Amino acid sequence: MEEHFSGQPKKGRSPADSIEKDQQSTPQSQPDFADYQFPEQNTPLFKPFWLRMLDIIALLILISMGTWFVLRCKRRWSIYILLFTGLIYLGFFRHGCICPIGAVCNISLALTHPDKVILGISTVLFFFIPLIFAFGFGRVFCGAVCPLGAVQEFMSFRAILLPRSLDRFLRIFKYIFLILAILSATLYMEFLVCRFDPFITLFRCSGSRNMWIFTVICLLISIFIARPYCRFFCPYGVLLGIFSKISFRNRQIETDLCTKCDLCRQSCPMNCIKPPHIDTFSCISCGKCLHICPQNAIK
Amino acid sequence: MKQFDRRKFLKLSARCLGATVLFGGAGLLIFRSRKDCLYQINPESCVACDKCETACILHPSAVKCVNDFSTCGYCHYCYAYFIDGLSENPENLVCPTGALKRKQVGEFQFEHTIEERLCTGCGKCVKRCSDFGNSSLRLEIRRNLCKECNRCAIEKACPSKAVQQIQIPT
Repeated sequence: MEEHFSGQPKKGRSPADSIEKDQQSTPQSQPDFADYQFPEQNTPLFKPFWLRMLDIIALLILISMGTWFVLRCKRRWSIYILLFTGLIYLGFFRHGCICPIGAVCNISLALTHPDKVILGISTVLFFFIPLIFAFGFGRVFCGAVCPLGAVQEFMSFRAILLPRSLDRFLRIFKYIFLILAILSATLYMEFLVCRFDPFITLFRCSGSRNMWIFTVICLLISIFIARPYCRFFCPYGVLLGIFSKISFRNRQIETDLCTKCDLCRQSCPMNCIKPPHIDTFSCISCGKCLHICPQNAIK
Repeated sequence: MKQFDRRKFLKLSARCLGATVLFGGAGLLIFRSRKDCLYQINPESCVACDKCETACILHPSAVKCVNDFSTCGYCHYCYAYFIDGLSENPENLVCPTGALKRKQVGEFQFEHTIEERLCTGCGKCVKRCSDFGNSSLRLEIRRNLCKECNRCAIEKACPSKAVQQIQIPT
């Protein structure tokens, strides 16, 4: 059964209650000449319910497989396949929206102004599912699903290791951005996160000149610094990090097996390993250290 | 020994607090959430300014003009088509891109359709039709073009709060 939405141009009827089943059933002022057929009104249909829920299902499948790959199966290509799938589906197919990072603004707006915005169930689930997995297993969303992380990961050809003090200084911007994002959403109803999303122009294939310049700059930086947005700017990363720090299963190095060869520290894209200690706040469970450790000391 | 227990206790209490915040928050918001809603333009509140064309994050905009044929007067002299007089001179046409097309279907009846590819959502024809005509032309967010942003930029820019959220029918 086809369902059309069409706003009525007459007074007294709102779009919400005018869902016409058939455009040609009762025309109000039909031209009074014979054998005229109304042209076909082309109204694009809403996506069906199951297709909307497909986003949630895709997220659940990708994040569960990411968890399983990092806990059990230790093959090099497995996480990359998941990242690629996340990039294609959540990034290019769904045009990068809805994303959990933007959902930070949605949720803070919904908590403070419940009358101004209707919160959809997809947004709530997209916000909480990665957090719940982070609470259980660490930041598997970042390592295996996030389309923005995927773009940065696939662009990091010549990643250099930053000095630790510079790294620590730049990380402060994450917290500042989170506070600004929450404040701007609650006070001005402005979604700062979505406005400064570095790769949304790629996903939508459209954007203003300034946004394209921003995207190109971020792509160039990603070649030389691994995961710059994830490390220094992602506000959702702060929330994920908090829950990752108190998580039940997280990546750790077995101290008696560690020979301090430093291979893990050099391979970590988030620069969070100081052998034999892994900073679980920043660890994105990408599995690079697992694969490279010659002693298999990382679990 | 005592220090070790203290750290374990702190971690346990942090986990309890985290679990409460996480699942409590999730439960509360799921309870308060509704079915997914999408943005659409309410034709009564719309004042046919040109913000739809410029504010949308997509270029060209996802907003297109749509004609409601059951209300359209099929007028010979369509006010939304001609500015002044019946001349087909492009300077005399309301639509700046020529998207509004006119076809004779009767002796004095003309069918007006919009070629979506050319329409930019500027709203000039909509304004003329609502000022002088039957208000059959309206601006509409096209579902096949709209990217369904978290926060609609057109909604923010609309001066008359015409962009509203509607529940998706199932």
